[in-house]
Amino acid sequence: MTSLSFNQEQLGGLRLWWNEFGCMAKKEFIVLSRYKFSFILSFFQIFFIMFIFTVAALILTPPDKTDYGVGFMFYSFILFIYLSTALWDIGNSLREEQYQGTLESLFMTPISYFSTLLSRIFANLVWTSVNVMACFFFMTLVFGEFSLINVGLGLIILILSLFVCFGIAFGFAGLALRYKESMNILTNFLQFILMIVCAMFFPFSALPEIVEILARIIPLSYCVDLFRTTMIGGAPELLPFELEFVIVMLSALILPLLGVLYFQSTVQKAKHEGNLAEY
Amino acid sequence: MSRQRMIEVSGLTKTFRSKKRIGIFKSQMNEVKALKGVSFHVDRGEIFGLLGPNGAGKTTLIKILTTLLLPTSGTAKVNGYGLDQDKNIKASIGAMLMGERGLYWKLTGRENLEYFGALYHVPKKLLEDRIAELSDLLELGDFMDRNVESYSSGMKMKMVFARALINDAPILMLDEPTNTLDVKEARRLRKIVKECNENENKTIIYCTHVMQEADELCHRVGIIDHGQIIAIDDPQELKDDLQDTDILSVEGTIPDKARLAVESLSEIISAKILVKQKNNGSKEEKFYLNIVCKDSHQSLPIIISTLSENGAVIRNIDKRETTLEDVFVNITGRSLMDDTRQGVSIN
Amino acid sequence: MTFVLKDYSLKHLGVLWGTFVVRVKILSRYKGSLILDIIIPTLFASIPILLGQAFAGSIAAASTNFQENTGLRANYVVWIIIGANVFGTVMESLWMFGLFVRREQMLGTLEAIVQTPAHKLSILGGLALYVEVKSVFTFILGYLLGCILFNIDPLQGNILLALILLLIGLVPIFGLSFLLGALIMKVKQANSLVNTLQWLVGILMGVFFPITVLPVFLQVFALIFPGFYLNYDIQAALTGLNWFLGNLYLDLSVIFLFALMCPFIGYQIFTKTEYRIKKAEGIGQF
Repeated sequence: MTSLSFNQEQLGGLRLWWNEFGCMAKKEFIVLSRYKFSFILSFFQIFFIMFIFTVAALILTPPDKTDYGVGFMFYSFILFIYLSTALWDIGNSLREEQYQGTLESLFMTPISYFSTLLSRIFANLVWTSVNVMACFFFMTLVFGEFSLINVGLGLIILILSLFVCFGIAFGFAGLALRYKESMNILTNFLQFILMIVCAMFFPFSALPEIVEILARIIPLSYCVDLFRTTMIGGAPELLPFELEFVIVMLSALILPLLGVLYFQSTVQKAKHEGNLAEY
Repeated sequence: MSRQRMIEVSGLTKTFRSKKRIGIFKSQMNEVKALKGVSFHVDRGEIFGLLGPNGAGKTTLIKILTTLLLPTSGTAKVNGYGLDQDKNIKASIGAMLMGERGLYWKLTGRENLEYFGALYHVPKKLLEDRIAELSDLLELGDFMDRNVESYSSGMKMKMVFARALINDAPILMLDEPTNTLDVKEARRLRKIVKECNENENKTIIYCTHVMQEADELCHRVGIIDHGQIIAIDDPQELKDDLQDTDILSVEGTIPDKARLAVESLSEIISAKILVKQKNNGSKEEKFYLNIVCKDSHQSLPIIISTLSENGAVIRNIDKRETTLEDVFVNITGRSLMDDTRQGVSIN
Repeated sequence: MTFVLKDYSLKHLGVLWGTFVVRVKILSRYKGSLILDIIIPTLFASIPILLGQAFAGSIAAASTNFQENTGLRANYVVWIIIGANVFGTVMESLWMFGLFVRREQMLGTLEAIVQTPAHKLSILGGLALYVEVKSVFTFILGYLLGCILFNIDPLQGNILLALILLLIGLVPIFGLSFLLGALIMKVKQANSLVNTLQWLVGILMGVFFPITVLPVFLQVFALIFPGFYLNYDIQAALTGLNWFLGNLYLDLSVIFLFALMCPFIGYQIFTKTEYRIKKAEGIGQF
């Protein structure tokens, strides 16, 4: 048989990491393509959610604020859907690996945790972005044109915000390994809590004072505030623009690292308890 | 010249804590000692068998050696690396755990092998050749391009074995690799394992509860029971230790009272009901009374008369070769199959 | 003969009760799930409530906008809290069977259940009983929680009537659940189906807005969806709105009609699909 010379030098390096990430992302794309039905449904899901909340917003809004209301809902929703994708995809795909018994096989290979986690989100993120663009088109069709103040800066803030979401999701992946089936409940709970506390679908001014204090200590709140105001205009509600930008940038750097560290520690704990493959 | 130690295990213990449910709202913590100070070594190019009934601690041990599980205490080195150097250990081993599980259902066999090959950093060109060779070797054929979800259990098992070989690691750890394979396929897999060892000098740990497999394949065998290695040696040496005794196999209808009567005879060392597979190529099992005695020529008449007096109907009596099963029975007083199947008895 | 019949029905009751107890036991292992089922509707309702307050400047101004835009003379806060809680129970009922089938498929226990001599209807009865009990429990606590958080008197409407409507109105949803169970058995991608259809169900039920604001074709779909009547009539019982057809008994008749038709049609379609799948690939395949 072909002998594969084993080279220990191969166990590190950026190129190697990139190869790992590439092959895992490719696998995710292939698996995604085998679930064609889900693939198609995900578009409708995004559109239905946007539609339901936008109409709910509009029936409570004075007629002269319709454009503002639609824009507000759309941009709020973009961040929410990315957060939701990151949270659910990582947790669900790890759970699925536990069901299939592939998690142990995966952890027997010399891959990095960071590429394992990131590759899991990547494929769905690409698909979600396509969906969001399609949704923008349909929302414009149904509700008419709405504001697009600073697309360039908005995109930069969106990308930074994505890394903040990754950080939260990586940490959550650790919880998925630990709490197994209860993860669905936890993910739902966290999603709703972040949705409310980070004022994802309404202005921060609507929050009770005590919740607003809580909002100010969660980095995601600044992502929401900054992205929304960049796209629909006006000043951020929580802090001056520059300060919010710095917070978002630092969070985008620090949170993913913390998330991976937490994930690593839960894997170690699972190895101690022997429940890595339990489902 | 001393041989290179590929695996060194010293004083490994593992204790699991689990919740025991009491009603809907209450639970209580349970402790299970899965490994109790296990020590052994495996040299380069050796096939080391871990023989023991289900629940003896084989899988726990293998999981610790593959870094999937951390020990409660003790140390281990795999290919010279301590358990904390998990990336190096992972690159040194190909493993087959959890039976037929461990494949992506929605990927084809080829896609699974490509994926895991890439995760082991096997260069693309080499990987293609390797997959083609494994496909030929294991006769995977058309199945390579079908989704795993459509495979039979045996086919999944073969694909998992191919996955264990994909990175051409110097060490193979195989946990009950022939489970769910039919007799022919199991024989074929054992042959490949032997070839891997002889032609490529791979070091292999082979866990099984089937003593014939351990006997056929392994250079040395560690018999594990209740988390402890209770004997470790060349299979022949282990059997030779029992050479001053004879073993009789009695088939027929044997009530427990007859067995107890024989066991109480002074000439008899032990009399146990054991189970073995029929020699017709199937996995069908039959029960027999296994009698260990000092001199079968002298003891035979009294054994026959005692059995008959206690209601036994004898169909056949054989004087048997000593097997690893006998070694296990001699040390533990139980049969390997007894523990594996739980609660078998005949009358 | 009487004895045989009695024995027969007792066996069915045993299976029904056994299924109910197993579900309760499983739920007791996921206590967080129960708490979440109570909290989530309120969290859900708070989005449009707070949004309305922020956009209009105050709850009173948002209420005025709501009444002008929809023509409904109800407090929009309590109206949405009720909608969100009914939505929660409808989702639970709708996925009861579909997700049960899928989950058992994944765990490999579906074949084991099918192999037992228990009649499917007894198992379904146990599941339905579980969902009814759980729905009443979560609805009462969820509604109370929403009212307390948003400072509303929870006893302002006819609660007993609302609970009766809930118990009867969930029966047709069980019927639709069979349809979904059949669909899930066929396409096997339960999560996506659940995640997508729940929002469509929310739109057709008029959870956050009355269906009159929807395009006409969607209004037609809503009118043939039993969840709409269930939601509207519970909202009417608790807020004092007019009954949808002008009279409680007319509304109840429609719900009863659905309660008779939907389980029958749903079950027929499910068993046919199950037969086809058994023929093609085996029921435990996933």
